[in-house]
Amino acid sequence: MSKMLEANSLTVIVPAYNEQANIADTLHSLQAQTTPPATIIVVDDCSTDETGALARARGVTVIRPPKNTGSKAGAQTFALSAVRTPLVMALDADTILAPDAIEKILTAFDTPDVAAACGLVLPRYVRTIWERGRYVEYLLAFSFYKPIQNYFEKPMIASGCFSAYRTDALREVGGWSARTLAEDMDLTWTLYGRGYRVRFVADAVCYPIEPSSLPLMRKQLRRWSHGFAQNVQLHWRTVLDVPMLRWFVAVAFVDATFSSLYYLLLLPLLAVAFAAPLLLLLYAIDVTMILVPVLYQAASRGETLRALASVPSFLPLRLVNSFYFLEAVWSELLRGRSLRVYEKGH
Amino acid sequence: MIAGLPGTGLGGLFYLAAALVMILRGKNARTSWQTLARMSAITFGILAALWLTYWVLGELLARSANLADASAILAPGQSPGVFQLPSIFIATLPVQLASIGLLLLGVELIHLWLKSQQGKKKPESIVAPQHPAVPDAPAFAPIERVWAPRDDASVTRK
Repeated sequence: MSKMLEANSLTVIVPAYNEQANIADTLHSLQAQTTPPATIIVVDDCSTDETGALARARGVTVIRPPKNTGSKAGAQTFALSAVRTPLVMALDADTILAPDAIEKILTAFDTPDVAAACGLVLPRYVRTIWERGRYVEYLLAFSFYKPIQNYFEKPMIASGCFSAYRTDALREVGGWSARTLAEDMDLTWTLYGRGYRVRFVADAVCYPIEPSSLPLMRKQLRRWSHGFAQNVQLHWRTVLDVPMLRWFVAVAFVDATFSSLYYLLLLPLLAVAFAAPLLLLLYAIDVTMILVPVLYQAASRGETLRALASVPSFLPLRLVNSFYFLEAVWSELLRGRSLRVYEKGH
Repeated sequence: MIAGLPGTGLGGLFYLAAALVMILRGKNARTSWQTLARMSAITFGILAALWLTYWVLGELLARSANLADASAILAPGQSPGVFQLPSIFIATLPVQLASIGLLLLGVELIHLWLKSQQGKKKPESIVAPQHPAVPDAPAFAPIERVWAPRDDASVTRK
């Protein structure tokens, strides 16, 4: 695909609700791309602030649904009918791209059966304990887990904050669905079920704003955990039909469940039962192993010290994550009480 | 983004094994030699870190009198005080590998069972669809649209 064809082949959809603090940076990063998109559509989801005006001032197309769609999936799908290019990208309104991110991610669409591609995600700000924990989590996941999934042709999820899709394939599956709280996972697994391929492009980098406080992190983790459980419930037959994906999903689900039980129940109980506080060191037993991929990725970006300083923050984030994951499994799968409230908060 | 726990429990060991398979199989259409070299460095680095961790753990356990019982459970036949790296490693690795093996075997068995169940059903059409149908959504209630109060200037959806 030539560079000129790429430039003319892509529409970027930016769903936005009250994003006046971030929308200008996001649009600037899009317009400054080495391969700028043909069209940028901002879906002003009935914002009550200046989001729409700020976007219009940047010279992009702004559309506004008659009433608030209530979710990112709803806003993105609303814009899908206005897309006239063979490729479409979804980009969160608080996410900026590396200057060559679009150029890089478009290289994934080298065969007609590639329906989606995602890139590397790193927090834009690394200041609070929660942002630091997330920074380490991303460095680990995107330098070790995701390349392995990509090697076996089954990236588990094309991240919702920054992914590109073949427009026809997206329309075929009805766009982004709001039936679960993790519309990106839902879409990725649906595409696999239809026989499409999904790619991960490590060179295509985006920088979203991550939750900076515990209340914000709580909202995001609840949404992600419940979304994961909902998608397992929704897609388990489809996932079982897709080689490797069924292993990745099963391992992720079982590992998350049992690791959470281990962190929150077994380890404290053992420490008390044996009267051995030393056992609590097991909370950090894998730090040296986590350090290897994290420091490797960080060093290649000249961020070694930042990564080293952030590693301790990964441990409390993991504990909080454990709690909300167990809560989601208990609520969604065991009690049958599905979380249907889309709480904004990253 | 995945809601799992990127740690080194079963998942970590599974991915370590997958990385070793990846390295042994070599380059493919989606993975360059550079990526493979990077993954090799990371994988062997993790293995070295694993070894170091078990060694430190063994030393710590050997010095903790309160953990004599625990060490006996983890490494039967070894007397407390000589609780060395290989004991813990040898005691726990097969258990973890067996757990992963059982999990993957279980997944494959469920898959085969489902396929056999589908095979028993009478086909409704002699023309096979090009792709399997999108599964119906379970009986979820519609998502309630609630925007949280803006307690942070950077609040957004992802």
